Amino acid sequence: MMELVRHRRFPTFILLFGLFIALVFPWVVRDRFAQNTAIFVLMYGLMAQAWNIMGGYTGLISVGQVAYFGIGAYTSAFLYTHFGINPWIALLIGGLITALFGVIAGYPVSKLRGRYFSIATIAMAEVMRISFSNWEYVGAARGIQLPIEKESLLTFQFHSSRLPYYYIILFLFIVVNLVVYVLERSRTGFYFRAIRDNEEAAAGLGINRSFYKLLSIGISAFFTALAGSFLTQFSLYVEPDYVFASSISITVAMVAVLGGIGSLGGPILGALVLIPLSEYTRAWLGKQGQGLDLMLYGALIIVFCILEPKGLMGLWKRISTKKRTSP
Amino acid sequence: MNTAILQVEDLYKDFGGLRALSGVSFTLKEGEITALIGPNGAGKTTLFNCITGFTPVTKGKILYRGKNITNWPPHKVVRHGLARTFQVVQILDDMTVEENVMVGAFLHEKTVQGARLLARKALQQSGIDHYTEHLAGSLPIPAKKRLEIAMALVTKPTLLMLDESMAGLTPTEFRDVQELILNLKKEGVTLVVVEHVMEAIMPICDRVLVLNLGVLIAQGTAKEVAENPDVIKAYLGDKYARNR
Ligand SMILES: Nc1ncnc2c1ncn2[C@@H]1O[C@H](COP(=O)(O)OP(=O)(O)O)[C@@H](O)[C@H]1O
Ligand SMILES: [Mg+2]
Repeated sequence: MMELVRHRRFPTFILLFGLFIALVFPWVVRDRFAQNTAIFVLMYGLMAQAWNIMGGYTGLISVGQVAYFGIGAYTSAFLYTHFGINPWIALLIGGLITALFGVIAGYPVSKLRGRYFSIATIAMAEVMRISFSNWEYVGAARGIQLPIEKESLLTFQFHSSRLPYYYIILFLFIVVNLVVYVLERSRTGFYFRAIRDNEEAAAGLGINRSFYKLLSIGISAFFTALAGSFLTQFSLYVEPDYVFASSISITVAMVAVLGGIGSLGGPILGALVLIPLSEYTRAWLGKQGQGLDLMLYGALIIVFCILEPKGLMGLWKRISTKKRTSP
Repeated sequence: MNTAILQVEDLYKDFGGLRALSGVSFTLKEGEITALIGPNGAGKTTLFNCITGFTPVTKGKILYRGKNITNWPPHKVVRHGLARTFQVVQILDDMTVEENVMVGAFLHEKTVQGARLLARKALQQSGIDHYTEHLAGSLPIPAKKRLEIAMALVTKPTLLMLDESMAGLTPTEFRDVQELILNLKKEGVTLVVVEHVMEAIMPICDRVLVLNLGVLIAQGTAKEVAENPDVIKAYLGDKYARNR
């Protein structure tokens, strides 16, 4: 059975409509918990889209994204507290340093394929957590506390309202989605997908595999680090067990996988469904429910792998189009 | 037209204890079609892999237009105009036929639109333009083989190496490929063709190289090779010599 491919993407008007909803959301929903949840939806959406660049498009399945997240969080916290660098600039530098880290740490592992690569990413994240836990210069296990400043856009601190945080993370979320949108329609995007599909064929078509894998890792690490820096500003402290928690890596990968990898809409859908689900079950179950949300994820993933291996995007595709087949 | 385009000098390839290529030397002349034949396991695919950088060479030298390309990475080899197909098709299963070829087209065209145009031409040339929108992984094998040829062509090779591109094709289908090969020759492309179907390759090639157990046991015109007693013993005996 030969398959014809069409309509793999969200129509643009749905994206624009979604954007409109996102812009008015905090004005319509004033509930603080709901607003916090929305912030986490966007933060995980940002990270899942960054994961998607590596995992979905290039086929580098990472289960250690928290390494980039934590390094970003630490770099901006450190630059701010030690050198008084403006949080916005610290956020950018944090992203760039993390991208560089991603490329350097990725160099030896980018030759690994499939699950061997994934295992290496877990190891990398654990090594980071342990290193930062023992690194006295950055506060070891105590982490770094950020001083409270007057609230303003310049100081990246807001005490009377969540709204600025919401719009900042929405902005970062839109940026990563625009990057993926452009990537999907560019030579680099084609090269990423070619590497994912078949490395030999990709090399035979003139693609420098190492270069494009590292590029993919670098872009992914950059945006994941932005999410980390955002969390630093949002919670005003970093701690190894907090910003290098392996559950973050797992959640990010699950959001992307559940949403459907290798398409722009996947991580967006995944974050919209999974994050509220876990935030609300956690609130509902209280402290005893710790970990139950992860079990819920697990169950959901299993159900999806069986019923709809292409994730929520696959479901969307089937609803919105009939797949044509030809003899 | 008689300048050397590829020189292989005393090439060795060991896989652990197994010597897959043993002191292979030959020269390809620009614009010729060379048939590379030999029984299964002779080392034909390994030779392709060594030349195109997919397998590291154990010893020896490969010169392409006088430039030493030994152990260059595959993508660099392609960028210098040396393309190949694989005996076991290597295509991008989850991308459309057109997208598969576009990836190769990006070597010459930075824009998606430009790459699409180049891809369409290559698809037409290899006779699978009616599959443009299909998922590559879902094609039947003969179409996959043609897609692979299109992918190689779109990189605009000066030397094209085909590894059993006609295997499994019906006589009508392989006549199409024959015609394609002859057309490419007319355009000045040098070709090396590995083929088991003797009737398909012998009539159109200028020269034949015969490998057996990693050793180049004969080279010459089809006629010379067919009359070579070593070759008859190793390979051709039952398959081709008898038909003459
Ligand atoms: N990657 C490999 N590892 C070990 N042995 C190999 C490998 N590739 C090929 N060989 C061996 O090298 C010899 C030549 O194989 P090959 O080049 O595929 O022959 P041909 O293409 O002429 O049929 C065979 O004995 C084969 O088993
Ligand atoms: Mg072979």
